[in-house]
Parts: sequence; C-alpha cells; structure tokens
Amino acid sequence: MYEFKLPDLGEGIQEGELLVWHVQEKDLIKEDDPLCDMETDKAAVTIPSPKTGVIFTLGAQPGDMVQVGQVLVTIETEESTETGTPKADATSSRVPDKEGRNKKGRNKEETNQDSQDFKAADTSADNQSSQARAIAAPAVRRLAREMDIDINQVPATGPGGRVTADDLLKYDTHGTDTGGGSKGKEGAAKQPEETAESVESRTAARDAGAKKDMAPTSSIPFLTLSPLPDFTAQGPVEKIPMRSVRKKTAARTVTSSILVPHVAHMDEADVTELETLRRAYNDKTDGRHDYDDTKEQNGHLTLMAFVIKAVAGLLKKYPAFNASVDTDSMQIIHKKFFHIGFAADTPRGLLVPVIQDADQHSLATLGMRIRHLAQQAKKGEIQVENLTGGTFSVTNVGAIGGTHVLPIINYPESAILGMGRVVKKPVVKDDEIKIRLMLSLTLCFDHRVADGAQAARFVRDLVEMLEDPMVFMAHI
Amino acid sequence: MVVGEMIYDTDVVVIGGGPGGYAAAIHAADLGKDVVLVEEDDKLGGVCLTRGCIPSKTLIHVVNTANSVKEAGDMGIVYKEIGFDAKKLAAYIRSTVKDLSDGVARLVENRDIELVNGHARFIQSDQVYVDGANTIVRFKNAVIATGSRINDLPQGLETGFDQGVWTSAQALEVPEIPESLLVIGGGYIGLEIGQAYAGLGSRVTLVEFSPQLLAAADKDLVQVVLRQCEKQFAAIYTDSRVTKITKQDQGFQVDMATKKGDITHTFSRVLAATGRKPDTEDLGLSALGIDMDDTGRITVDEQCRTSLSYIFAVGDVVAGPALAHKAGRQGRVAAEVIAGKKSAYDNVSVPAVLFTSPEIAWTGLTETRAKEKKLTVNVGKFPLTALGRAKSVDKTRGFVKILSDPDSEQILGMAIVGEHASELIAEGNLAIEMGACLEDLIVSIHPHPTFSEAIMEAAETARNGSVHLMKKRR
Repeated sequence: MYEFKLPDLGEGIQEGELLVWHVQEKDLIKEDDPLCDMETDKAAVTIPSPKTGVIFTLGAQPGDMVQVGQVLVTIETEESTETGTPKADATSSRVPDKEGRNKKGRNKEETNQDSQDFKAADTSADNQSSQARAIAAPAVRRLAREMDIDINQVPATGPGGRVTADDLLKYDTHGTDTGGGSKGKEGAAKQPEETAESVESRTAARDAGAKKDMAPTSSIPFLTLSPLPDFTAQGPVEKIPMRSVRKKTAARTVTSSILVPHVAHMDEADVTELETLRRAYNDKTDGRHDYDDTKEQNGHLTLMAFVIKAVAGLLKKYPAFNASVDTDSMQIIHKKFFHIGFAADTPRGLLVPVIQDADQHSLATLGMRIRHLAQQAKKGEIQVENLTGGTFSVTNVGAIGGTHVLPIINYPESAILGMGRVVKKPVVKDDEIKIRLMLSLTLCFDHRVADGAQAARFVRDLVEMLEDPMVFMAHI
Repeated sequence: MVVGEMIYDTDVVVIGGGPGGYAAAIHAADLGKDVVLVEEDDKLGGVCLTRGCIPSKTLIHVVNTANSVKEAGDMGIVYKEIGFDAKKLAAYIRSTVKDLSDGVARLVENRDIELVNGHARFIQSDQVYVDGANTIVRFKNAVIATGSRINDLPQGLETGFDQGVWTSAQALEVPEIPESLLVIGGGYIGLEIGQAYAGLGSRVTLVEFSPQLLAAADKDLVQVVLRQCEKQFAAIYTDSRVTKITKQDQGFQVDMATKKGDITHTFSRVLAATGRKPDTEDLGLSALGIDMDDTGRITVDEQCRTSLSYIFAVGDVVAGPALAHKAGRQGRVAAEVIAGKKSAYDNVSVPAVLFTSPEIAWTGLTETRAKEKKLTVNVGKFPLTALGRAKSVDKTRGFVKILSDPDSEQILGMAIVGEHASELIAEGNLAIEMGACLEDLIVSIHPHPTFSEAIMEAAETARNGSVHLMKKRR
C-alpha cells in the first residue's frame, strides 16, 4: 500500500483546497495520470499520480483543505508497502535533510523515512510522531510559547534535530500565510473557564494573543479587537469560508496596509493621440487575413501594454519605485530587473500575473503576454511562477468604472499604479475647451523609500509619455 | 468579621515561604504584582533552607573537611588529633541558616511584599484566613507552596518523635554527637546524615526496608557509595524493618526484623528518615474544590494551574521530585503566568543530587528507567581512576556515565558518582535541556586538569572510546 502525501508545492505553500478528484476508489490509475485538482493560494494545480496501481482510499473530499504532508490517497501497488512524499515537479523539498547530523550508523532509507515523518509532523496534528517532544533549547521553547507556536510541530534544522529560533520564525511566516492566524485564538480559547473574578492574567494573555495577530512586536494604542455582533440575530446571513485566493489577498493587503505608509499621487493623462494611433494600428491588424492572436508580431496593442512599457522604462530612472525595504538590515533594495505585475479579475478573485523583464519586450509582445496570462488566470490554469516575483504592479480596475482608484501596494513591492477609465472630458487645451480622452492615474508609493516630489516627477514623466507618442518613442 | 481582623486586598497571595513560594512571590512582585506572602515558620526559606538542604550541606562540608585531612596522611599532612566541638558546629550551622534566611527576608522586604506570619487556610474562593495573624487576605491569584512534611512513624513502634526519636531536622541541629546512632531509612537523607554522623565519630547502623539503598539511583552508582558506607557504618540491614523502639534511661532499645532473623540492639540515638509527604492538609483545599491525587498532591497543568485556574500550586505539593530547585522553577512559572506571560514548566529533567560520600548526581534518563521502558541507549562510562585531577587529589572513586540516543547521539541522561558530582551534573542538565549531542560535549574544550574532563571523556566513550582508556580488545 502506497500512501501518497500532498507534496511540497513550492513557494512556501502549506495547504491547498481539493477541487475535484479525477479518480474514484477502486479505479485503476497509471503513474502521472491526473489524480486531482488542488487550488492553492497561488494557483490551481493538477496533482499527478506518483504510482501505477488501484486507488484504495481517498484522503479528502472536494472542498477540504489538505495540508502538505497529509495523506491524499492510498494506492494499492504491486511492489511496495512504502510511504512517500515525492517532490512536486521542479520544486525542491523544503524538508531539512537530517542526514548531515546523523554522523553514524543510519542508513539512507531510514533517514528518508525520518524526514517524512518530520514533514508529516509539520502539519498533521494527529500524526503520531507529532506527539514526540521537540528537541530545543529552553530559550527557544520560551520563544515558541510567546509566538503561540506548538514547537513540536516545527520542522527542525539545527544539529541533532534541534529546533532553532530561525526555524520558529520560518514556521511563523508560513503559518501566517496558511491560516496560522488562528493559532493565537486557539491559545486564548484554551484558557480554562473563569471561576472567579480574578481573570486579569488571562485577559492579559488574550491581549497578548490579539496583539500577535496584528503586530508582533509592539502594541498599537487604541487598537481594540472586539468580537463581532451576532449578525444572525439581526437578519439572515450566508457564511462563506475565507480560503485560498481570498485569504491570501486578505493576508497580503493587511500586511501591506499595516507595514507600509502609503502615499497616493494622482494625475490625468490626455491619451487622445495615443488612442488614435493605437486604434488605427489595431484596425489594421484586425483586417489582415493572416491575423493570428498567438503571434506576437500581430497581437493587439492595449493601453495597458503602453502603460507597462512606459512604467518599466521609467523605473530605471526612478529606482525607488522598483524597490523593497529590508527593515532587518535597514537597507533599501533597488531591483535591477523589471517584472511588472498586473491585476487580473478572475472567478477565483484577484490574481496578479507577472510579466518578467517587461522593459525588454515590444509593445506587441507585452499586449500578447498580458492577454495570454489574463486568460490563463481566468481559467485557473496559470502557473505559480507567473504569479510571483513582481517588482511593481499596475491595476486597471478603474476601467470597469470610477474616476480614480487608490490601490494597496503589493507588498513587498514599493509602488503600484492604478489606472482609471479612459473617458471623454472637457479639457482646457490651447485656451479652448476641448473634448479629450483622459486617463486618470494614481501612483501609490511607500513613503519609507521615496517622497512626494519623486512621485510627482515619475507621474509627470509618465503622463508626458502617454500624452505624446513622440515622447513615448523617444523614451523607450 | 471579627473585631481586630486585618484585611489585605492583593493581586497575589503566596502560601509558603520556601524555595517555591519565595521565588513565586519575588518574581511576581518584579513583574508588577501586589504580593502577600504567608509563612508559618518564623524564618523564611522553607524546609530546604532552615531544616534540610542548607544545614545538611553545612554539616556534611564540615565532616568532609575533617575527613579529607584524615585521609591525607599519605600526602604528608601531619596532625595530632582531629575532633569536633558539637556546640560550635551547631552554632555554625545555625548562623549559616540565619544569614541565608535573613537574606531572603531582605529580598522580600525590598520588593514591598507583605509578609504575614501564620497558617493560611482558604475560607472562600478568593480569600485566605491566616491563623496566628488574625488576617484575611483577599486575592486575585493564589500560589500554594506549602511544601512537604516529615512522614509519621509507623504505628506500633511505641516510641515516636515525641519521645526523642530524631527527625532529620533535629539531627541537623547537631544537639550532640551520640556514641551510637540508628538511622531508619536508606534513602538519601538517611545516608547523608548517617555518613555525616559516622564522620563525627558516631557508630552508625542503617536499616532499610527495601533490598537496595537509594532505590531511585542506578545500582552501579549506589555500589560506590555502598562500599564507602560498609567501611563507615557498624552495620547495614537491608530488607529489614524496625518493629519496636523502647526508650531507656540511656538511649533506645530497638527491635528489628532482618533477613537473618529478629535482633535487638541498643542505640544512643535513633533517627527516622522515612520520607516526606505533601503538606496539603488543613489548607481548606477540598472545600474549595481543588483536585488532588491519592497521595495528597495537587493536580496542576503545565502552567502550574490547579483545577481552579486562578489558583496555582508549585513544589512538593504537586507531582514530581520533592526538590527545592524544581520548586523554584515552578514558582517562577506560576508568577509569569499570573503576570500574563506565556510560560510553562516544561523542563525535560530535574537533576537529583545526593551529598553522600562520595556524591551521587544524575539527570534525565537513568539506565534503570531505560531498561524498564526497553529503550535502546548508548552508555559511555568513564572511571575517575583514569582522570589526572582525580588522581592528584586522591579521589578516584566513581565515574561519569552518559546515556545517548544511538541514532541521533542526543544526550538523554547523565549520572555521576564521585567527588564534585553535585557541581558537575549541571553541565549534563544543561546539555539535556539544550538538546545537545555527544559531539557538543566532545568538541567543547573542558579545562585541564579538572573533574569536568570526565564528562567529555564519558561522551567520547559513549561514541567510540576515550583517548584515556584502554582500547577494548575483540
């Protein structure tokens, strides 16, 4: 019997929602045949079968959240009684290799077995090995307690299988990503029932727990987290669990809103001339008999492509908006690569596909990449690598409607550009009121890395490029 | 309310001023709590400081000092006569105890902790009444740290503590140096005091109910001490019990049932060192609904909370070894939890230290326990005979033993019998709490020439043999 555990999906992903099984119990399955579809924080993935055999039991139901290391399916194979956690394609296992510390006497097989137990213990509370007492120094134990982490669940990387303080920090980051936010609450809920008025210590403990959810190091004056009223008493409600993309979005935006001092700089660009040229170009390509949407040289040009192209160029001049802040080392990291993410509205929620090296692509290529990635995102087929690594983001949610948007920076990036809708407006031009096509632009930036003047110059340059196709050409 | 009653309102009341209680009180005060400390005795410090560890270790030190001179004849020390002035010795012990107890009192006063002298009893879920001080303390949190008391003697011995049979506390006051002394109980208290009195010049006889002395220790450790006891003691009766003690004009006539039949002997003094029990009676705990086990110990969780979550219990009144250092750690945990910190008594090992001659100390897993639990362990043993420093001071009796996990080499237990075992064991305890492996002990340089090198050597032995031992021939 082969127990197939949910493999490491890379990118620190610790759990996924089971969407659909492609097999049933007693089905015959071949190695690499699709087993099921899972949705993670980042994308939907199809998990292939690691073995040929007969499906014995399914370890989860569609809709269940499955943890990395949890048994997904047991397969009756001819040869083996082993258990396994094979690595996902092209991602390396994050399980610490214990071999290094076992200086003597342990053969390789046992070592592998051991590290799998470790991994299972990482996420599965009812795993037997999770009951074992973690090896850790008293100071690390205390830290774990303060961080509301069950140290026995933390994968160890220290010599002799010791859990180190770093392990806790790593575990905590993962935990926050994958629903660890509830850990603090569990801790508070575990407090015994109150039997006398002397509840001070527990209240304090609960406060500490609440603080941990919001800001790990300091308390915020006036910040109170009171429980929600009982809405069911007020009227009918529907409760929708926060999962996957929704939860990820929540985590990212809360982090960004709390950590990053946002400043917004707004302007409008007169894109009348650019739009005229763009439409003329598109009409021409549409009329061509060999029009092929997949070929970059004759793809549609979109306004988004122009904006991304312009931004990717301008970021070289304004590196503060293509940066990240490392608060540990008190350094601002300017990135010398320009991977531009754009917001895509999908049935699963907001995804931000990333165009790698956007500065090096032609407008036509950018147009094609944007359309292609957006379609993949909508279908849920987009790969994790196309959703990560962005250095600057653009959102054009304003295109649906509205005048200006005030986007939240896609942390740990340092700026985001929000595009409004292109609308006809009366504009004073050459001392006359004229009807022009106007695009509203908002640059939200991290005030830790840049000041308003830089933002004003950046936006001014961007507006000039978008208003005058000659300036655009001159700059790219 | 009775006229004249004092009422205190406080955050925390700590009942018992021993190592668990005063640690809890001081730590809680340092964490910003209002604290009232209730102590029955007129001295702070508990049994450990006033009637146990401190006076016994003082007495043992004095005896050891004399012994080391007596044993140093071959080293060229010349002396005419070594004797003891019992009164001066008793005064020295008293002053040591007093200094330390006064020190604790100053620490308590320094924190503005209200010290109430008397016997505390819970009268309501948030109140204790202190008998003797006519005081009520209303509290938000309470810490029970009342420790343990000496077991009563078995029924039917005719003569008990009230008629002159010594408790360990009395023996440690050294009221006299008896010509002969019967020690009932071969646990560590009986052995420590028995050996001390043997050193003072008493003819000591030991009687123990079970077949082994120091039942909790591994046999190989006990063996080293037993050999010494056999030299020092007039007789050792194991598997034996006292059936009757009759007080006579000069001493006590004692009937014993031994392996070899019933015998009767007369002793100048009899010391009963037959264990301790938790002091949880007469505190009003059951009326309050605090859970206790069959042995009278209070049930607590990792945070030292009792079944009433705002009342804590630490030390001898809860499960685990009845040792001062464990009580002190639990007292700090209780204080931290009360102060809203996340804390837990989650220690792996509590070191046991016996100030016998030579000393025995162990921590973590013992070989006996490993066998019981059928655990496979690597055992490395390094005899002090192979240690330069031990040879230079002529204290080569004993060894260091390290138990490690055969796969990970994690150190699971350490045991030492020999000179300075009580000091050396701290390294083993740190190693276990830190999750250290043999490698950590082997590569950490241990200063030469010291007894501590034996730990490093034992770690080497546990792995593949020590440089300083003969290679095993196959």
